[in-house]
Amino acid sequence: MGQNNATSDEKLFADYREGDSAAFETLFSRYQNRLYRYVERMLNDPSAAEDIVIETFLRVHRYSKSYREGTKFAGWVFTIARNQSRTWIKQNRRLWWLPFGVKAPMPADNPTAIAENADIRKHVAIAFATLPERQREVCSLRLLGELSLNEIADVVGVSLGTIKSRLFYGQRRLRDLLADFNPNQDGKG
Amino acid sequence: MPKKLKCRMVSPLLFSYISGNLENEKAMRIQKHINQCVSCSKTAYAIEQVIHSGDTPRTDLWPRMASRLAQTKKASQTDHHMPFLFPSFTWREATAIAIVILTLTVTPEPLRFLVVLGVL
Repeated sequence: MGQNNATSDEKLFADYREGDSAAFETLFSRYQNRLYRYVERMLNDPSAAEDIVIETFLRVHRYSKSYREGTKFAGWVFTIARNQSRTWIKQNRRLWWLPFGVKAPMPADNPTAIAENADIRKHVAIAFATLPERQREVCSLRLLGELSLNEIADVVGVSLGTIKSRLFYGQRRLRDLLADFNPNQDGKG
Repeated sequence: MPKKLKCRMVSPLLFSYISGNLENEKAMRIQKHINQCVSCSKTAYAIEQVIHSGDTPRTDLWPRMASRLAQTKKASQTDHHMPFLFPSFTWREATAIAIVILTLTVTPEPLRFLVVLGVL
């Protein structure tokens, strides 16, 4: 497993295609949080985001033979997650009138930490939800999915210049939305 | 002596700075500015929350994933053992079947019975 940490995603996926099922688990553990953060920001629904992460990797398994050698695994897996997210958004569009639908972050293992960070996280969630869909998508892929600009261009299917522009305006808007936020005042009166 | 940075110069670089995508020298100058500027340090803090404290799934998703994967693999194995559900024909067999069906369709009723007997 320690050896797997240094192995590239593409090598791990090649190993999986040759029958190494441990490689699939390693890939999943590498990607589950990145994918979840990206999808959760896009859908604003933690439960649906978890389902989509799982569905994405099921498709990775199902379509493993159609993966083209030389393609970046990250780009491929995020493209699948993006398509899944878009389908979900289309199906739930009527219920998707943000920012009023922004849900509070879901509880995790440490209630004290959650209580301290709840305001910040909700504020960040609202800031993201306020962005136009295209900017939110690029910002989520970059800041939460940790993809490179070229990988984002492949996933979204637009030029690098368009990605840079969406990222620039999205980040500027996020920065402005978050600039007034004072964590020391919020929640403490 | 490098010029002192102003907020409007620092502000657009804050995302890159916090993501660690700036060169050392530029990052150090921004760090220095943030240490002295309340407004930029507040924005930097909020941006840091965006990048570093994103939510994670409520539980590790691997057990669910492994279970779904096992189901999928089992289903695909079952599919292979149902050859009669979607029988596959060679092109010769398919052509022969098509000819028989066409012949039966175009043959008038008194002769059709004889054709069926002939085929059997």
